[in-house]
Amino acid sequence: MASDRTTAVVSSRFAVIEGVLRLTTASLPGIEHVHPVRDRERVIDEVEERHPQIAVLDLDPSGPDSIVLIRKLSGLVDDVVVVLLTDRVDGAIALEAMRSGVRGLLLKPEALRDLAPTLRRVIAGERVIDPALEGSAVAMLGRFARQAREGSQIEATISPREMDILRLMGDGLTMRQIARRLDISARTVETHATKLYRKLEVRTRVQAVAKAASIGLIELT
Amino acid sequence: MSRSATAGVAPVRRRLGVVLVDPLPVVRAGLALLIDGSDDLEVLSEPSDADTALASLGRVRRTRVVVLVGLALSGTRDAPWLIRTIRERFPAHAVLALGADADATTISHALFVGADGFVDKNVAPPAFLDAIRQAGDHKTVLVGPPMETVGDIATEIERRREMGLRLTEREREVLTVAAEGLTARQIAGRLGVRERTITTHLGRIYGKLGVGTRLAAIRVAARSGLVTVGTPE
Repeated sequence: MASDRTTAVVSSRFAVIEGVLRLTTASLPGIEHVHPVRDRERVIDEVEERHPQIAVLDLDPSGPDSIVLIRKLSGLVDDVVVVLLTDRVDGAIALEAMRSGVRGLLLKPEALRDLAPTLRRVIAGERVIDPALEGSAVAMLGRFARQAREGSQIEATISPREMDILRLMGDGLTMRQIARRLDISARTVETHATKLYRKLEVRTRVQAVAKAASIGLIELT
Repeated sequence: MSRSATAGVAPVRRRLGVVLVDPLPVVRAGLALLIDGSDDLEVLSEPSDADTALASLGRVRRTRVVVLVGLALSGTRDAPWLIRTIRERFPAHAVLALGADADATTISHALFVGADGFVDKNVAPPAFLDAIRQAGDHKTVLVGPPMETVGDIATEIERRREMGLRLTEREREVLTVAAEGLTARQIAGRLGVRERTITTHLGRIYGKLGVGTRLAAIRVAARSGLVTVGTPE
């Protein structure tokens, strides 16, 4: 479905910033309707329903849910020009934003001062990423590569059974629950766990889960 | 006029050492001139292959140098092999991959095996030298590729990682040996197992990689850096 070139969606949890975003997008050529979305949970739905030409979204206060939001936005970037704003130089968020294909990633408060010309450049097809945010994304890329490498190296040494146990540890099961789930003795679980800790270079179960999660071996929900 | 030893004299900072590894003599000569021309960097050696580079690094007496590894380095001990080996044997040094119009796949491979960054030969000399300095400062470096590449590189790293997760260590071992061009019987002999075991492993490998022939499996695995394919000397 083609985007409605007269519509824009803006979102910020801060009334003042929402005001700035509304005024600025309203001044863009062709934009007649600006829809503010105060509730972060509603942003994706609103963008999908309204099919705006452009969506300008303030990520702050940014946290892990920002990454989730950015990933969902990546499905929309082909039809909607998405511009994100944040005041935190966070490598993980910046890298995720660059992977997602958003057209703009701007740093507050500087970006708010000349937001109109920036948005016009973005609409014209230019990708505008704040240099500090790009730098943090590159730094994150280095960490990302290292985690991937260490993860795959460690994973190569872990047996499928140990992987099962690790996953169940990550789910929060006790040793006894793990034994029951896998239909093996608690003693066997302990033996596997000891080997696991050595391979992960940790001493406790909590450290094992943390290390495994940090290198992407398991996901903590 | 007497001068006190501490009056107004800045301590001389040692130049950051660079080891320059590239198979092409002209490239080495050109980069060496450029690097030596700046007053905070100096070329320690200019090896043309991996073995000479490792020998040279073994003789270096500094805590930290920047090793520029040309991605054109090929053969059994190619650039990824060298990068991986330097990371294992000389973890204190910074490794900067050097390429020419490299794409996201190539760059992601270099980062995945342990390079601290990548610099493209097509950048202006000042930016090139800055890349070396940043690498010397323990920073991840990406100089040359357009910013759009960052996202693609991350995606490629993830893909590489997922491929690695899918093959077991044994399967990877079998595939590495298979990549030398040996028959199943020869692979079995090399690894000390029955031929039947090898064909079973290969069958599983093809299934996991989603391919139908050994050639395709080797191609897929080599592209992802799972195995290093080189012509035996």
